[in-house]
Amino acid sequence: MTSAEPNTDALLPTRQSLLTRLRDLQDQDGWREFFDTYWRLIYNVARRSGLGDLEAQEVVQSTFIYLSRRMPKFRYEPARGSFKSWLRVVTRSRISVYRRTEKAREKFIREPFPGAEDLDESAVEQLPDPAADALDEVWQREWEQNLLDAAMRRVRAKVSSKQLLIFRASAIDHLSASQVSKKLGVSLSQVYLARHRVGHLFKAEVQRLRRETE
Amino acid sequence: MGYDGGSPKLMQPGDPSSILRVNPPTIPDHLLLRPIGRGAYGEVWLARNVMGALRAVKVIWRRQFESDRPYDREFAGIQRYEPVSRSSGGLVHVLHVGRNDSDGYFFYVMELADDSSAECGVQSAELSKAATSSILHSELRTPQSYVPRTLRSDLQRRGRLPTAECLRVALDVVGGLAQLHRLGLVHRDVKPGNIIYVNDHAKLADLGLVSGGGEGRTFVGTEGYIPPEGPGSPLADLYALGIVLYEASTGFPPERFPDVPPEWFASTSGDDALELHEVILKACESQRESRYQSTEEIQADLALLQSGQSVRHVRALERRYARLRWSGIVGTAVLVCALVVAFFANYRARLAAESRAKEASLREQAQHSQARAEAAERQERQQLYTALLEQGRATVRSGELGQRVNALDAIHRASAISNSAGLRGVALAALALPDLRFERELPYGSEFTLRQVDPSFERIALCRGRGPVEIRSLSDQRLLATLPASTNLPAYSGGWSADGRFLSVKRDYPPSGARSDKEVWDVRAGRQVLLLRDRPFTALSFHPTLPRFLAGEKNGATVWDLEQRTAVNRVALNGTPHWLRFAPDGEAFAASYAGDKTWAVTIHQTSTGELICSNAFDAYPASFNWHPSGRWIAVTDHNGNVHRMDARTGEKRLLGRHKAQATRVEFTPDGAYLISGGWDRELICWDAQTLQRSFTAFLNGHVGLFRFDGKAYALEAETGVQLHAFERASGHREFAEDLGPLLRFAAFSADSRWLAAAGTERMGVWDLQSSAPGAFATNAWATRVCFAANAELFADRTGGCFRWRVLPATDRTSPPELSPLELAVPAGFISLCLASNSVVLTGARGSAVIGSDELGAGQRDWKPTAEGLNGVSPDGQWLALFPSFTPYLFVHRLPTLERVAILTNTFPVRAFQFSPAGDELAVSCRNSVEFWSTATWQRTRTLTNFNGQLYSPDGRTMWLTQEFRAAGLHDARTFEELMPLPVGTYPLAVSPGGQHLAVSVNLRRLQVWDLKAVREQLGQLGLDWRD
Repeated sequence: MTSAEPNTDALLPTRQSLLTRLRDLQDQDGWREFFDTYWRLIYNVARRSGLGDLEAQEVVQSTFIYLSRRMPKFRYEPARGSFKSWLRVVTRSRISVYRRTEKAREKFIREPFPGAEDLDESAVEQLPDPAADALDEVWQREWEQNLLDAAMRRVRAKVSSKQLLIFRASAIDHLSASQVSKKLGVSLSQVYLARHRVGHLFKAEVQRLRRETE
Repeated sequence: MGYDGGSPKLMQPGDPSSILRVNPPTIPDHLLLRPIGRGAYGEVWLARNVMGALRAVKVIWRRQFESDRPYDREFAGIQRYEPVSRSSGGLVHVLHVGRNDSDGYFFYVMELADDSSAECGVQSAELSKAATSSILHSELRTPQSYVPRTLRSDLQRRGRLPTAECLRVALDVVGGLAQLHRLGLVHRDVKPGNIIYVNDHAKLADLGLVSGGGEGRTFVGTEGYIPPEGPGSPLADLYALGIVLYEASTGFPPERFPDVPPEWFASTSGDDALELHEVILKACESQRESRYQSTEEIQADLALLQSGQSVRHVRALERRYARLRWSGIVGTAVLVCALVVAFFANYRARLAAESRAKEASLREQAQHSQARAEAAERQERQQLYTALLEQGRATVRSGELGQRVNALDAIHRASAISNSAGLRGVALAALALPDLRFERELPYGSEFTLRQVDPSFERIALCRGRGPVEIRSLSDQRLLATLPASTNLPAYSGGWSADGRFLSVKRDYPPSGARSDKEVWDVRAGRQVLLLRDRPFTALSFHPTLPRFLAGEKNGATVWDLEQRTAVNRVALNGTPHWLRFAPDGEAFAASYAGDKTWAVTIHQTSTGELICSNAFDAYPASFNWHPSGRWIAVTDHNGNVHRMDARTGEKRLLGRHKAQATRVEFTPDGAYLISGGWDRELICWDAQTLQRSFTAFLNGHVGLFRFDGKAYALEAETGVQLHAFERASGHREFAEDLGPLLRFAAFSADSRWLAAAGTERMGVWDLQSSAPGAFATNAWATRVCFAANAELFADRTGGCFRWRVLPATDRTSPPELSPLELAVPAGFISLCLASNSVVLTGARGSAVIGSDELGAGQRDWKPTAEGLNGVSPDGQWLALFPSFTPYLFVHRLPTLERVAILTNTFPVRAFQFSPAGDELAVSCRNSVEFWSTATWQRTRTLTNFNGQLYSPDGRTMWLTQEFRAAGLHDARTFEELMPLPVGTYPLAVSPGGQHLAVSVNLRRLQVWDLKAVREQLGQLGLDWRD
């Protein structure tokens, strides 16, 4: 992939238009942004579902491969369901396909039988997954965290590192303004300004992400 | 792929895959012990070479690539990196590169990282070649348990590192990046797994991604360390380094940036970490324009931290200084507005009282604001000034390349804020240092086997292996001439005659160049004048002044006439010479050849070959060169040593040592310095007078030469021919001759032509109008010296006195002549001083005033005076003298010797001096200098904490000293310090016009300073003072 130019808004159009862009597999900037935003979510959910590190990485890979096959025909219609729900379904199904495929492979190694060479993924997808309900709860928690993290990443591109640190120390870690001022060598007014400005941006980003994806 | 790889797999000891699955490739001179890392393209092996040293060998397999292109790109990256790697301590050294195309791999040998599994942290890199049984035992243990120590492994084990350790890592790694960036390369994958420790120093490893900046926009690097704009630029390397430091200092993963551990806010223990975090915040800004734009910028901030300064504070000062300047302007504008209001309000009688009150209030507010702004601005300027002053001091003491140039830059910036004596002192120290200042690099890299700049730095001779030699212009690389090859052999070295007329080219027989053909060209005429076939080694030298050429041959050397193209004479040697050099006058030459079990360096008469002197060297003497005086040669050898050998006696003295084989040495044309180079790619500059190391430089080359005027230096570096300005101490002259310790006395003649000085071993006299050596009187040791108006020289000490006529030398290179004159020494003699046409003698019988024509034996009219050291006022009116160990100074009128006063000082007197106007007498005592009026003989003032003084001839300034260690120029009236001298510099005498100052350094070395030149230099830095 070629490296992207530093224009955050150009990199991050609205989610709807991003999903529309993803129909074009040659749109490497769009796919890069999509991957950067959601791979951690999928990975963490896969890990929390009991998979190891390498296995979770494989789930991330197979999810995006699956998406890349589906996206050219994709039409995002919010009336039929949010992007969040849709991604949850896709992720859940990839995790369960992975589990079953691995079990079948293990069985194959131990007891090879004629015709077992061709493992049909689509056939495995049709089978019900008993672990789905527990996964939904994990998904919801990871989704929230991923949304906050994604919002914070976008805010980070717009403010200085010092302002971000002031905000996180005072608003998130709840240190007093005077403590932050003294330790970071900034004035009290700078602390208040950073809290207000960064907080405002963060809130706006979270709202925007929710609006576009939920 | 790095040492542990990050994504590649680190192999633990005992990993069965390390034994079962890997077929070790063949690496010449190395035994592969076991793999210690594996990645997508190959593996890293622990290996032992034939010397027993452990190394890391990285093997890249062709079969792991889809095509030749990425495989060749990896190899090209190593080719670029290999010569650069050894030029910085912050880069892992690549020691050897090899390729096996038939088996489909290439490899490179690197220095081995420290063993992170060793309990006591013992480094594993270099084990003794002569292994004892105990060392063998540890060698057997170490390979199996070895795990490379990286920053990643340290963080995994310890969580996070203390701030001081992070700072050391930062400085080490930034040094490596600085070298890469300077040479147009970027690393592209800076991360903890790619930072290894070698002998406890952090170094950048993982070379596979190193590329020329701007080439190849493939998306490489590691997630979390890539800036928003993408990888592949020097700024991206600095960003990644910032993230690494973030991880190391906080223990947090990159995605948590910029969070810090909450305990940093809780107590003062986190303050240092927060200071470093300031640097990290700037390095990792999202907007690239807000980050450090170069390694030099981040190095400056890291250096500030290392010196204990606060980066936050300095940045805040600079920001506030800019704001306060603006607010000062605003304050002034407010004041002006207030005045305008006041002016117009005066017209309104009814509102006059209110207006006046208003205007007074406004004016007062504006004035207060301006005063506050000015006070704050002054304070912050002072603090910024202090930081810059400390930076200058630290740089001066560093002993590294840039010690003068960078220090003067900091001083110049500080001088814009304040002009103080302390800053002048640091400036003086920096001006006394030599340095190289990079000017430009010519694009003639190591692909050229011959790169020889001519003595005037106008042309360069170039050759790529076999083929013709091109002569190109240095200024615009224009082709000036092409010299066709006489054979099909590659040209590997050459040399120009001093006048730039002739060029020698050495074309080597394979494999090693021990035999070669020598071509000599008349470049101006464009024709070959000499072709000597099958000659040994690099033994050739041009005569310094004549068109002659000395070429070595078996057991001898022949002098050739280049115009007649005939042999002039042949001299026999006791061996086949490897290296030859004519002496600066051409009358002698030096040669090196193999002896029985050692190497010989010999000096011979050119005409007869007669041996003048010789000495033996244990290691191969790689090269030597003559001091321009012809008195010494400097010799480098393959033990890394740099020697100075006396060309008359053969006696040699070791100056110091390179870290690897020392290979080249060049004197500056004036002989004040020499620069040696070695295979450690290090240049060392030596002071040829003091034989001390002046500075060390890593410039990725070891072969260089000075321009004929000594002001420029050309270095054959890997990437090109670098041209540097050679900046050196100016404004003073060092005298090489040793007068013995306790050099405390000196004097200038009335016309400032002659200088006399005496130590405890002998007295010397120099003609300051020439650079010839001095004349010496060994009987006049430890004497006070003075010149009479007729330039006769007198010297005296208790029990003896001497007198000479000083005569100029007959040629420019010979010393002056000291012709002894008659001077009868009375019994009980103590001291002597000069008064107009008379000499005053003091001894056991008192003092006597004697005419200059009565100094032979004869009657003396002795008058009773104290016995002690005497001195006369400049107007010849007063004689003062003091007995040793007493506080009394006796004053007598001249010529009658009537006593007029006894001055009782607080402490025993050490010395005294009348002021140039004769109105004051300064008396140096143990802890003070006391000043007495010559009109009233009353004490007028006392200066404590000094115990020596020397008036300047105009009386407006004086040199004050503390013991023999600290001294400086002071205002004679206010005693304000104007210019401190470097520590250990002791003023001895000032020339009558005040232009020159004679000093002793550490009471041993004699120097004369040109005070006018020194003040001009300080003035250029903005540091002069008002008289």
